[in-house]
Amino acid sequence: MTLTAGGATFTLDFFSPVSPTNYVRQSMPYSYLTVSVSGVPKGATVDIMSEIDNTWTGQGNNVQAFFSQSKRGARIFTLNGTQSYTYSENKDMAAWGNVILAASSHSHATPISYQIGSGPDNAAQFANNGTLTNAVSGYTPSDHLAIAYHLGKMANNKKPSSVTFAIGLEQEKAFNSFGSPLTGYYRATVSGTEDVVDYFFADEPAARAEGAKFDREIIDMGMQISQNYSDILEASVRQTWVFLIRSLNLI
Amino acid sequence: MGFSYQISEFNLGQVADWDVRSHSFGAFEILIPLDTLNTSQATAWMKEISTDGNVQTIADLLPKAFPIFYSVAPDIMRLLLNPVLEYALTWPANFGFHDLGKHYPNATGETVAAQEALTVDQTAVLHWMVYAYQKASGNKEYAKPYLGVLQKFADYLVSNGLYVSKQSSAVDSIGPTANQTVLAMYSAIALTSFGATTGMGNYTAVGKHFADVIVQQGVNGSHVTAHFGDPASSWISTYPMGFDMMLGLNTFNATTYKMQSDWYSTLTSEYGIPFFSGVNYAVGDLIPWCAVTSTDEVRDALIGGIHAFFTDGMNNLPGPTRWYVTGSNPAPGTWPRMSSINKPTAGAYWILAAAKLY
Repeated sequence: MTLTAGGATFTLDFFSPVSPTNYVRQSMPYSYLTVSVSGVPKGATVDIMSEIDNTWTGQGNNVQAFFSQSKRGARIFTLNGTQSYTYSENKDMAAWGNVILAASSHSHATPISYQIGSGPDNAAQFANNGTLTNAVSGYTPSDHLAIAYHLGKMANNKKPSSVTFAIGLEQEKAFNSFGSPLTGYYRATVSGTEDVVDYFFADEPAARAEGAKFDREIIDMGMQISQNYSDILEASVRQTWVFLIRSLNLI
Repeated sequence: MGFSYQISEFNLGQVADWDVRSHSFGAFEILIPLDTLNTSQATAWMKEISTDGNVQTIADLLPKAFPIFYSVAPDIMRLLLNPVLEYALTWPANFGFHDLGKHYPNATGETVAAQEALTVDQTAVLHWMVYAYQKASGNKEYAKPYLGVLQKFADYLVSNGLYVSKQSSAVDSIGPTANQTVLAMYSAIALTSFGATTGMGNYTAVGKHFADVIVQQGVNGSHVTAHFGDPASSWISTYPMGFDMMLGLNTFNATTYKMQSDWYSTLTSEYGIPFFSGVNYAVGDLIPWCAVTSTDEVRDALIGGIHAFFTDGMNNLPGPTRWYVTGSNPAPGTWPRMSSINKPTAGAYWILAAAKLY
């Protein structure tokens, strides 16, 4: 997903780890959302903000929001329902558990700011300042939870040209197996939102490396038959494997 | 979800919102008990997305997903089979069950009376899948605790699996009729699978005998017909043979595969082939199951049909696994309904990569 503005190009990339054998990585209910920027005019500064709201919970206005910070400095918003029924669904969408949006500067010293506010208030604060107020009290169900990375002046070669958010849906009780609750495989290794977010961000390079290797393996397997078949295999992996499915609309 | 960015010099502010929606269901989940966190009790679970929310559907869902795991992650077949085989130990009938629950993510089980009765189909494919895991993993111990119930199901197929009573298969295009040849194929391959799993050659022999009967009594006009004794105007895509090929069981022989390949070559068009003589749509994820037993030329034509549907710009993935192939209204290459979309059965496309891997 790419957008150009003022000569710069912004690209949005979703990556949900696909691992044939690493069940911790495979079962972790998160995806990486990466915004990359290139072609920024010299001297310009760049800030990138992401927001979520109650529509992600599928539970209307029966929601509450929390802010926390992890040991490794991730900033985390959690949204969940105040009247959830465990294991319930709303139009093929889970209606229980914690929706998580997080940002982390563990791999680069990019300042992060955040706030809870109405969509227009968050937008105005961001447009006028490039950073958010860090105010997180007084949540109402119409509010948006926003986190922003302040990349600053891009002329400095040490600055990264992309930032990554994490989006997830955590359900301690994920499944009802004949009356006994099951949980994600990853929880035998790490649990608790803050620790899981830290693990997830730290795992990103390895997850991407494995994803790239798996992609090559898929292409090779398909090419033993034909290019057409290789295309079909790649497309089918997304449909068979991916934990969070999204549709992107540019509005 | 909104993404905003700005560049200071241009006062762009919030230029655009990428509107992101999440459907937070999983194609499959890898889970452990919450109370013990014991990873040796891990299971994998699938939901029948976009049809009815059934859990771990044995006939409609699991075997179609298996080829991708067979190819790249054999242990996940074990995780998917774990809850199915454990449940089978408690199942009172001598034929199989349809699913483990009606509302994902709740596995609440089945009753014999209430279940959707794809009786031969859901009994047979369990054998396919058990052998698929054993063959790909080399793990010959896994099936041992379940051999009693698997033999019970195999015996059911010996008695009831050739001239099958009035019922549907999971593909459910023909509807419930008696003496469907594909259901006899399911049984034949199940029996050779069970024979290969256990080394019990008598079951292998019955499976191959079923295959001989299908070729003798289920063929008219140089192709397999949809039912034993059908006229030559009836034909059906013999997709179970694809699983036979994947597992290297030789339930059906090369002459039979070639006969079907030649028949498909008379039918291929821009978007593949229809499922059987009674419909003008393809069951797209089963087309590779026909391609895998066909000549390279027919295989490539069939793959080309799938590829044409995926890439013609009229469809976005995740997309349907059925589409029109012949006729004019609806137009070939379309699937106007909102069903059969985004299902993990897309693993079925992998059968060509899976064949002869082990």
